[in-house]
Amino acid sequence: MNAIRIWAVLLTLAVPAGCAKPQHFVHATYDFSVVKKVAVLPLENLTQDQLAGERVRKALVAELLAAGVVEVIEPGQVNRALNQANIQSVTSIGAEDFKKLGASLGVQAFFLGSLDVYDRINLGGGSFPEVTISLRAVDASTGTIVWSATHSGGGVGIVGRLFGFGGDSMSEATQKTIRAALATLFH
Amino acid sequence: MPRMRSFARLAGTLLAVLVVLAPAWPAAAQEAASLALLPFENVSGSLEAVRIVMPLLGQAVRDRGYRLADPGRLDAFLARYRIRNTGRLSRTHLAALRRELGVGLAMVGSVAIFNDSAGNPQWGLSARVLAADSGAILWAAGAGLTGDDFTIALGLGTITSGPRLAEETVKALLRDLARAGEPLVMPSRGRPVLSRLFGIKASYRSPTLESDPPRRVAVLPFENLSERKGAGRIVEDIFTVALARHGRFEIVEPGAVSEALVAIGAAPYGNIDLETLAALRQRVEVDAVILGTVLNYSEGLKRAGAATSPEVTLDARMLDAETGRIVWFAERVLNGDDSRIAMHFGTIKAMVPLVLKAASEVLDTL
Repeated sequence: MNAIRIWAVLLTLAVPAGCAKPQHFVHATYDFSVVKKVAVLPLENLTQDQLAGERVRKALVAELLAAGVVEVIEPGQVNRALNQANIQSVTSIGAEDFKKLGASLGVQAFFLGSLDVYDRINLGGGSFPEVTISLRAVDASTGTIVWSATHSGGGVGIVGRLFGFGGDSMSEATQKTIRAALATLFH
Repeated sequence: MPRMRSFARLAGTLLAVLVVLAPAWPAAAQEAASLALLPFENVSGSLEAVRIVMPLLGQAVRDRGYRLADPGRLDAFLARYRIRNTGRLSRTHLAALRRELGVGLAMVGSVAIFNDSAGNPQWGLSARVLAADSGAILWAAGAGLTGDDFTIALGLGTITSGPRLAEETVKALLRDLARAGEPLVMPSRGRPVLSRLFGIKASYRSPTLESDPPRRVAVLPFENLSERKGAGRIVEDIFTVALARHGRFEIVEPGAVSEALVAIGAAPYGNIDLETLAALRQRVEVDAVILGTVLNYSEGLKRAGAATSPEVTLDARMLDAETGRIVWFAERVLNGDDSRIAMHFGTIKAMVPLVLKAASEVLDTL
């Protein structure tokens, strides 16, 4: 009986926070081969850390470039286009705005989304990163969502839970979370 | 007889040339050995830092045979031209410095950190020597030390005095500054074999970097997304040092970049739009620009008790100045303990060497 209890505890501990697969959607009929150039819009930041949105946006640009599939527009140019179009919040962008922005930036798709969790959790004497992001790609000509993914990363594994060490830095956790989310698109 | 006459004519011409040029030679040599040491910009947050470090820098530069511009005349010059940001110099100000003070070189720099804790003080400096005539960066270096860096065992050897540690940091900073009259060269670091095999890889590297590599590069202000005030400026300075020592590109002095941006009326901060990039390209004639972000910057200081290891996370990307395309992107997360071999050996305890290492490793992927 005791052995069963020990195994049950160990199994519970062995489930790290970030091991779940990303929930995702890929448009069944969209021709992704037309997408050669993309723009990454500022992410909606739902966390307490005011700078986290921009940090994750930069990491997303890096991961898109690293994928080597599409060209990514310099974020400064994207910001300028948003200012010129008088768009204050990315949550208010409509299909017509996407069309205009797409034409001015010369991109076929936009990446945008939200940062839901970006924090360090204290557990067992250790501190571990936790990142949850929701990303989507929108076709510039129609404003249609052609891909979306939500993924949580970081967290703590069995070693961290038991001994209070291990785990990634915030940057590493962010990078891995974005990479896992993008893998559902570029696999 | 005609041969004698032509010989006399030749000798006369040579003599005339010597008479004309003779006064200019010592003047040129004197100018090359004379240096204006500008007050280092203080990003450390400690009011004492510059007061402690400038006399030490002055003495160390004089010991290398340089003739320093008179501090009174330099102060008057800075006041006349309203130069407040003395950590960088524009081409216009460098030319005026040469014209009015007769110097051939100018040394600019910044104090990145001065933590005057008796337990474990820490200093961090970066410096550049600029040619007054061309504005070129001739030499650049960064150095940082903590009191713990001198500990042998059981706390023996630890430097606990801030001013004493400043002497050692200045010595480390100017270690490879050539003596006056000798060519200012920076030893090329080269990419270690292990780093080539196991080092970090760029997130993205465009094939155009092989076919059409940039020659002249400018570093733009880094965006600071860390909690440390001024970290963007510190990393920008240290990144410029790393790039200069990388030796692959001709680097535009940040003062010339600032001057151009003021003229354009733009203040890019971690990002740049194509219009500003095109205007910048025209003014400072660059083939590419480097932008970056400081994501984490922790000097490893604790308010009380022992210090922890410093940490830095930065990213950098290169944009083709003509097309605005991102041609390179790399990121580095580095902790002082990452290079530890055994016990405390190999650990990087000071912030500036850590940032310099992170910047150099990022640049190795370029």
